[in-house]
Amino acid sequence: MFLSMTVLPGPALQPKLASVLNRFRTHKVGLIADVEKIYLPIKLAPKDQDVHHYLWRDLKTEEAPKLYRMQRLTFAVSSSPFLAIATVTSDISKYAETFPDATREILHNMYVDDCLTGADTDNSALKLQQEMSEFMMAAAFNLTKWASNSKLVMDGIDPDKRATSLLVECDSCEPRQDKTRQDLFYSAQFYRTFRLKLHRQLNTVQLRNKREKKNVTIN
Amino acid sequence: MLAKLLMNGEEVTVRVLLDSGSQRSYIRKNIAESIGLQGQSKLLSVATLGGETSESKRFQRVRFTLSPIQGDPTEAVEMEALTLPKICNPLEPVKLNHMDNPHLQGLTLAGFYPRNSVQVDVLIGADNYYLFVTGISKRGESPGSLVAVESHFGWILTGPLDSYSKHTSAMLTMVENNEVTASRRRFWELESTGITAAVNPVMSQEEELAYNDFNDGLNFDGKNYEVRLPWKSDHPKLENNYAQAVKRLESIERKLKRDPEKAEAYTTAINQYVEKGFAEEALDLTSGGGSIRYLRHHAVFRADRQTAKCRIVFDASARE
Repeated sequence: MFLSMTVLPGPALQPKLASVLNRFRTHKVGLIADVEKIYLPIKLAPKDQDVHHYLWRDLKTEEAPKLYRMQRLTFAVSSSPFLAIATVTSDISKYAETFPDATREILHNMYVDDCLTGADTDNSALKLQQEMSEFMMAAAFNLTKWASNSKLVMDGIDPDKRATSLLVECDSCEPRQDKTRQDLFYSAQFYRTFRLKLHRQLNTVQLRNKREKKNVTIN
Repeated sequence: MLAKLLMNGEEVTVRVLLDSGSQRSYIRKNIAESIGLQGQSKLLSVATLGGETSESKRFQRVRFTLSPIQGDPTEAVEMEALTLPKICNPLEPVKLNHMDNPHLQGLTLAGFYPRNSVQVDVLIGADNYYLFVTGISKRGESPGSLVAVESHFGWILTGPLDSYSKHTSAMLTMVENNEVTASRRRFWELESTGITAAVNPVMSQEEELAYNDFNDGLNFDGKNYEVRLPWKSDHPKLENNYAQAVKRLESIERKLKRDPEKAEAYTTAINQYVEKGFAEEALDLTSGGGSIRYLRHHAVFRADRQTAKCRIVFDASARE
């Protein structure tokens, strides 16, 4: 008997991945981000910390192992994805009036910890970026690895929070005016952020599902 | 075969063709409309002789009663058929003489012969065939002679019509249920992925339980959220797995001692949990009052980064 067998996995609250990807393609200005270590800001109830002990002794094998207690959500428990999404979205209704766009995007276009969103203009994309960051920060979540096909949007984002891999492209070449969402899709940066693998010949996009360790292929 | 079609007190004489090779029965639309037959419409495609399948068409399903033109009116048959603008081309004229077929002597036929070219009004397919036909038949001496088949409406003649007709009309119809609408709907559903409004998925009882438990247990301390695990209500008690955890630790340590670089990265990564306040040293094992359990841990090293990046993965699902 082990831990994951004794807890409920909970409902899948995330939107359908194919829907998120389809919607992402409709934006003029694409904007993607990652919730940094989504489990770690979430505390475990003290009683549940008891099933989260671990041993460590800094490799001093002559000593007795020290006992530690993990106090945050981990990948170890099957209910963690559900608990994380439920936590992130728990305040949506409270902020829906203040940040209507940001809350909508987080609710509908965040696939667990990957957010694929965008806007019609650079300015509205930047506004969205700021509001989403603020909303998430209120619950101790950090949105990071921001990436966009717009240089202007990238320039407006805190350098620490930019996807480093995309900076190279943005600094070295101006995104062409006729650059479509499809091109952003195809970019290597996207692969780094979302772990996408593109098969041009097969006309499919392959995506690694981190949690289930499965490859998902989208035609 | 001739029959009387009865409906709402009205009566029309109709030409009926019996064809057990057809899956369904049909009635000519004109006839059905002339006496005001009505019914539900249905989308179907019809496969005909030669394996050709027609486009899907809308057929009306109507109900009526056929009664013999002579003989016992209690033999009337109530049946269903699909309406069709035209069942088939008019039948060839038949110049049949009773006297040439001694075995047909004295039989009351369901039609009159000889007859001219006629239009078929009703086609009785396999679905209704044996409501009319008794199964009794009479054959002549010679192999090519006509066969008389008994029906409740009188005897029906079948067989080759030698030199009288230029060719024999053959007919086989078959109806298959139409799946096009359903697959088309699926296609459009797929096409509208992400565009149509998301429908809240229906939660199973267990999922709802987990969700309610989450909402009851959610707490905010002003900085972080605190959640509780959605325990199964009847889960067995978890045994203390300290011994297994020690074995696991020793195995990790053996591996790390062979690779000092990884050992350092592992130590740094795991100690960060305590430094950043994600974990604490457990001085008092009974603080939470729950059963004590140990997580195994291992590391995922990423060599593609400039600095050797190490991520600790806690694991509770592997059998110990």
